Amino acid sequence: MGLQILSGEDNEFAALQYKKVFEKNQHQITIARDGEECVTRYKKALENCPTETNPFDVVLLDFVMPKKNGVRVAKEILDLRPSQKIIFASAFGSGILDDASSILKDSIEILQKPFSLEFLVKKIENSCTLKATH
Amino acid sequence: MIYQKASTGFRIGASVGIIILMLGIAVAISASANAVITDQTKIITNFDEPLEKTFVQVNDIQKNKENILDDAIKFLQAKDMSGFQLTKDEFGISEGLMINELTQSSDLINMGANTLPLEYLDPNPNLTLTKIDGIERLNAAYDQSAHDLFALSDVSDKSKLNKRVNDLKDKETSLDEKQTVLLADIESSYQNIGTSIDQNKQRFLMLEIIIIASVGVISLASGHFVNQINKDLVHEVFTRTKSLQKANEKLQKLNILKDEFINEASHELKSTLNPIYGFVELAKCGDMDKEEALAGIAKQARQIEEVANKMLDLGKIDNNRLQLFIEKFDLNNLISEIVDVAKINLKEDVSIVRDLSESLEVEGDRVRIGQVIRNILNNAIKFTRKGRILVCTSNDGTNAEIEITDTGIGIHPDILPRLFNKFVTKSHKRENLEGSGLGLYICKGIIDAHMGKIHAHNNHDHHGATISFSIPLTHQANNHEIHETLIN
Repeated sequence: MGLQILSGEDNEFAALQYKKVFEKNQHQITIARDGEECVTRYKKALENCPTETNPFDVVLLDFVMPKKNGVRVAKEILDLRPSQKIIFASAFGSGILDDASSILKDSIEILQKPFSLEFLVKKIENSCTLKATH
Repeated sequence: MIYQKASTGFRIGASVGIIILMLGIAVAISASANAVITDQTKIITNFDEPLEKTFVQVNDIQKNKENILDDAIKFLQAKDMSGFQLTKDEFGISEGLMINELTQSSDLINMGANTLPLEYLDPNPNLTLTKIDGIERLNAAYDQSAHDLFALSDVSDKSKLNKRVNDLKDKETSLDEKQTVLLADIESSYQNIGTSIDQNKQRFLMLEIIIIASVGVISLASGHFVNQINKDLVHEVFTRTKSLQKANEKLQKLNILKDEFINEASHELKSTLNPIYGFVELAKCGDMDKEEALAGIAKQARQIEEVANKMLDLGKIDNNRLQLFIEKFDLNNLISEIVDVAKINLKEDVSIVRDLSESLEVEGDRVRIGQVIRNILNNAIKFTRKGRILVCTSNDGTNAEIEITDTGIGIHPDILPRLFNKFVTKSHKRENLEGSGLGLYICKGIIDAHMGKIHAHNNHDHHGATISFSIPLTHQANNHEIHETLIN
């Protein structure tokens, strides 16, 4: 069974490519074009989701997004579901989380841009498999 | 500050100069006083005193002569011819002494007139000489009368004797009077000059006290003044240190913002590069149409170019080396082209309205002016969720004015006064502010290079903001262009 992915990505081309590549690998991806939309879509998905279960297997966030940046979106999501797997796709490097809280640092993985789409899919699939194993 | 420094230096120099000048005057007055007093003392020592002594001597001799003559008359009346003869000899000696003393006094006066300062000689030497001359002549007549008396050998003729005696007494009286007057004159001069010396001493002493007191006061004032200057300098150093600290803080802040900008720019480049790799990957696998992938790559490449251009523009504007390619073009046409493109991806609830003047031909850099309009219009679109964006142009015969008004969230009052500075919008923590923080800074740089003006304000109805700029219809050379012309 494919993975459920929520992606916050303001670059239209990157969003399109994520959609194509994840769907090709039998995963379902929901695209949000800004931070606010991302939180809204997460909350909406949460409504149809049983308690103690996360609505998405992974949330893929860009660090810089209009209306609400990636760190704030991650914080709000973790407030709702502390066990939610979040992966940042950032061109800033790991330094972006220097000022973030320790909870964020423990729950978040960072992918350095630029990366290949194949690498992204494998990374997400692996991290979800690892999580399932745990 | 440089002027103040010069003035402070001048004031200190002037104070020291005045003190030295006053001390110099005090020394000069002292020297002059000494000279005057020395001259007057010389007159007393070399003139008045000897003259007085001489005339006291003359008086004594005269008295002696009178006594001798009295004795001679008595001897004559007693017919004591040997005693009479003796008095005649004694008189002869006194006569010689008298002439000698009078000659000496004349010599003394002549020498004084030749060697001593005339302004202090009192009585006047010529007048005194005249008086002495009178005394000499009277003395000669008196001596003659005495000789006439001594020539008598017979005293039987009483009337003849009495006549000669009376004649002698008359001459005696007038000689005494003249000698007394002259002696009184000399004594009076002696006293006057003594008083004058005392007065001069007192006057010069008072003058010196006044000058030294003035120097003291000036020195105290200068001390206070120097102290004040010192305080001013301390204050100045403190103020400058503070302003340097502020400038340093500002520079550090700017440096942080610049670092952030470089960080953002590299993020922007890497973020834009990522989809390019994606397109290549998808096209390679056949998951995307090649045409579609190439179009995407081209668009992303343009974004990279934009970031690079901004960085280049920043460097050019910072170094005042923005080069303009001046041409004549219709500003309204340019605005229409930009608005038409902007309308393609416009949000549903936002509209762009044009209110353009009839014809607006200007001389300027078409590409750069287009860059400014695009930047302002894109900002208006970005900050307007709903409503209308109005683009107006006008022409006052000298300048073309472009005004872009939106109904968006407006400009935060904290950043409005510094809106056209570097990184101002970037440094402000506002949720939906994106971009490099350089767009409006670059716009101002471009408008400045056109010798125009750019301005921003929030609308009076509290809905949105207006950014307007004006440029001369005919291009005016800016500093960079003037410099280039001069070099070439």
